[in-house]
Amino acid sequence: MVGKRARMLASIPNRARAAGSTDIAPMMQSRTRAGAYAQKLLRIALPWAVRLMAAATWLACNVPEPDAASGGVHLPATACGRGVVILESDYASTNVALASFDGAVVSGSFISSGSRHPGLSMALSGDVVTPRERPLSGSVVLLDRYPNAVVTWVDPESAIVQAQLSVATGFASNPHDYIELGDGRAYVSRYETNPAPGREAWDDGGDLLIVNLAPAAIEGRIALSRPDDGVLLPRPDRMLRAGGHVWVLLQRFDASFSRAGDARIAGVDAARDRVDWVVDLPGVASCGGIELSASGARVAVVCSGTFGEGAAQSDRSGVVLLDATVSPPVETRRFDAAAVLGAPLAPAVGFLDDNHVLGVAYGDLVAGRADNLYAIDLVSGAIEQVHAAGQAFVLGDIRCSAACGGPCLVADAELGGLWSWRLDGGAALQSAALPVSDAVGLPPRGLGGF
Amino acid sequence: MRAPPLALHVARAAALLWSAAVVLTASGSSLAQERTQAAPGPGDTQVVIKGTRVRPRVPPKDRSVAGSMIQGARLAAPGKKAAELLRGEPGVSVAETGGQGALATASIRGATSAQTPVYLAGVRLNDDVAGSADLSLIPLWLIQRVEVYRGHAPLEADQLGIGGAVFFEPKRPRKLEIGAGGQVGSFGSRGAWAWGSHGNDASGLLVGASWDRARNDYPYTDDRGTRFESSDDVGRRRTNADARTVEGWAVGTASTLGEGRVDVVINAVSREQGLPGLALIPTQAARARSSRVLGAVSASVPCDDRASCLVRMTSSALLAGSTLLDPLRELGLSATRADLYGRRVDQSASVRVDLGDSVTLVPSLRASVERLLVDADGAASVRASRGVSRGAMAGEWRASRRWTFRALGSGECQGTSLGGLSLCSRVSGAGRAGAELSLGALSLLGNVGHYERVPTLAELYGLAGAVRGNSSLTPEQGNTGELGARVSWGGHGAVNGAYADVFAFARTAADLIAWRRSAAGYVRPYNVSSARVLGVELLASAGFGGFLDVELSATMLDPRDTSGSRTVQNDILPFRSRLTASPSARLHTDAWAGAGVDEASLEARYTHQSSRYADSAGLVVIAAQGSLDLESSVTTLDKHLTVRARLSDALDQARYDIIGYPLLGRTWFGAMELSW
Repeated sequence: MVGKRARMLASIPNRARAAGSTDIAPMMQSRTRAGAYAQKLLRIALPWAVRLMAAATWLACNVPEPDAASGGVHLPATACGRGVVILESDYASTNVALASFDGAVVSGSFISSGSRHPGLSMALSGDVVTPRERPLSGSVVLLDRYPNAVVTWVDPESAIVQAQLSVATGFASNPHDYIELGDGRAYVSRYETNPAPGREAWDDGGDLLIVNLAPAAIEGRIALSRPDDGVLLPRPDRMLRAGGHVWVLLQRFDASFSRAGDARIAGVDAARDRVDWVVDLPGVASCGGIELSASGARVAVVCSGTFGEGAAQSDRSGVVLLDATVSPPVETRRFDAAAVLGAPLAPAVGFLDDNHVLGVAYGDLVAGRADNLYAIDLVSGAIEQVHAAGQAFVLGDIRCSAACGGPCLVADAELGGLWSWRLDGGAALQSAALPVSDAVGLPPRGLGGF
Repeated sequence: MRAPPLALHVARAAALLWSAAVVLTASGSSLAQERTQAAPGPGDTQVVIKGTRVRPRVPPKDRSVAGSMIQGARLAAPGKKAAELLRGEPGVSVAETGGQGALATASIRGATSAQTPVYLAGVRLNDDVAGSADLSLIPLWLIQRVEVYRGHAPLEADQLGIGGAVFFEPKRPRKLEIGAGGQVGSFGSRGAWAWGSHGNDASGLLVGASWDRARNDYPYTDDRGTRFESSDDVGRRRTNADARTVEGWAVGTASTLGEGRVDVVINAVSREQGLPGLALIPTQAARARSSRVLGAVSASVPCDDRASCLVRMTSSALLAGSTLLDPLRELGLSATRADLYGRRVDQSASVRVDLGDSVTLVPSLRASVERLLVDADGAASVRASRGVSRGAMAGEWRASRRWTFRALGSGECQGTSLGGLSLCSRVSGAGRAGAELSLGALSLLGNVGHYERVPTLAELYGLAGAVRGNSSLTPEQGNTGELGARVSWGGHGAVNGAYADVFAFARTAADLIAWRRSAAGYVRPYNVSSARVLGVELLASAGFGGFLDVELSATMLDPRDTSGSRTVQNDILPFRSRLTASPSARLHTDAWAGAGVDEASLEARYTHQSSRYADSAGLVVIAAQGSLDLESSVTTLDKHLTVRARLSDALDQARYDIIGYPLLGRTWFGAMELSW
């Protein structure tokens, strides 16, 4: 008791102590009451606070794990494959859905960034594309471009990852396309050129990487740089097979993307793994879209122009039509769609039929211009805007299955779904909006085949 | 390699703590007995109470709002970074990107780092390029205390921000003293420092300089981007992550005009470092040089003899520059060199007026001008400026012995422009009101407030080709309210005292600025989203037997995206753990003086963060992670020599805040400091 009183006194300010005992007494009583309040509160509240915290910790500490994947699909094989791969992304993470050719989703979350916990990298980054050409092996193939630089093969029926292969070789190689050759090998176009090569095998970049499929391994490369490149890098992009060659679009930007050379197509002999020919497309630049007509006779190449050139970008943007029946191919016609539409063209392109092409023109965030969808009559040369999106950069890939009588599907991030476009018998366009699964809710942007 | 299960970590942590307890308990017990004895004296009032009482960690600038303060031995732990210090504080989230010298940011109560101003010696460090303050540029060796204001910034802050404020306050000269020390540690960490001070309570001068470097070549597991294929995983070491830093301090204080005082603070820091980039694709040649000089002069002058009026004027300047060199274009900047310069000049004046015994008013005026220059190869130069002027009034009404009411309101005028200087093109307001009910040792507090954050210059005007601005952005708006209780208890018997601080808060934010990537590859900001954050924060501590202090800091958050435009199913905001808990135990003794040891201490602190999302869609889950830190110190030679040791992440648990940027694992540091 003495000790307690002594501690209380010691805690009283000197000024109060000096004032005498008559002032100290009520202060001490007040302190005693306050101490009693505090002790009582601690006695009652602390155990409850601990219990509450423990319960809350148990119930709410970790964030919920993402929903389980929706699994594989069993779709009949056709001449165009089995179906369509839909890539949904906000550029931070990715969800992959599978759909039939008419756009009906059959697996809403086939595989996603959440299919494995992250480590140094994510299971799928926010920068994933599918090969332009449907893989002959039947696998769903995903190209994780930056920073992962990985090719992933997934069995569409079981949704099991069959293999993964890093094509980084020590630098951010940024794979842009993948094409299977039918002989157990594939080419992977690597967009970036390594500024300091020589530390790993095949680490030059700016090439086609030759990949063995079983087991997945790198077995060589095909350089795509040319003596006349100067400061320009080859920057190989999308590929297709036509006329016995693999055509590779070369975007030919310099290292800072401030300069772009005339577009170029390299023709690679897959039997000899060498470039047989190159075709330059003067006056157009940054060509990222290439599509083969159902008959195999025509190839449409879409060029976006150089972004750094501002309003002049449209000057080097357009659609180039090539005759694929001759080797090397020959340009047959050019469509100045960017000038007609008043906007540079996005790389998305598809053949509604052999005489009609569907494409996307870029919007502009600063000018408030929305994306729009255009159609070109390759016979008459007529260019027509057929659909305006709600804002810029929301229309994504186009995937057509005209050879099998299917529609052209267009990914629309703002819609959160797909547009289905097809020609009726009289060459009039008909469209329908198709929702995609809202299992995750990421906006659809990319389309591929399997 | 799989990480051991949490239970194993906890068991190992318990074993380590138990061992430490065994070492110090014997002496601690005898000390406890000594401290409960009453010294002989003529009467009760002569009783001497020895021992360290557990003290509330309430920050001094504004005790009416939720906050905490760090000082003392925790700041002196060798190799400790500011980010590590703040991790685990109530309400604080930290994002680190690597070892010593790597970018680290802090945010409070689910806000963004751009919404959370960080001050060094009263000068705001948040640049107006990205809006965030880099905690790695705040060496702790001459810091006296760190004050964290969680919901509402004090009047001393030039930004009454949505996310509270953090203050790093330097030591002040008090006596004639010189000192020097050195440090060694893992991964090439070396450091040395020296300082000298002269002065007394009236005036003084302190100067000091430090140098440190680290290779930061710590190991990590490279999964090569193939998360589904573990057979190709390889162990690597971080490369091109070295950093060298030189820092200097000068702090002066002098009494003048009777009760008046003038304080001068100058801090200069220079760093050269590698920029290692993503560990998946480590860089080889990307480097950065950065420097910062800040200075502040403040004068306090009483306006009458009764000390009922005090005028305070502060002038400060901040000059900061950094150069990024990327000859191999490994950073994705689209440039091989970028130079960023910023400078800010700030002037403020306030008057504290006591109107009788019950009312205090503090009107204040503040004006600042900030300029930003960005030059990058191949991109248009950015020359932007911002002028801010603010009038504010803080008031306190002590209505009764129990009730105190406080309010703070400010009107601010901002002008932002490219090229020229616009002093006022937009007016905004911020403010808060609160009440405190004092029941002796128990205080109940409540505050509500409204704040804004003006877009940074980079958000308005862009940085380089890949980062484009949006000059039509509007400021982010935030409303916040908090209710809290503080209770302290002087102790009884073997308990040296206890303290608890519990706050519940709610915050809404609108017009949040988010970055959207376009299909063309560049990013541009928008006012697109809104958010709501609810939370509870606890800070409790107690002392036992005069030799053991225990503390628990915990934060529970419920951060939700409430944007109408949200399309994803998940609404939990990414990069925010819903639970952060940091228990600690500190054993200390001064009972070994006979053996030549003046003071000795051993502290163990475990910081646990629950899992969090790394993306808005809620697909990417950063698993729960934690870190056990052990710190010890021994002071000897009549307190002239202190030897400190620290083992960080003693259990070597793999940790990261941002995917692709692994953090240091188990790391040791040792330091020796001689002072006279």
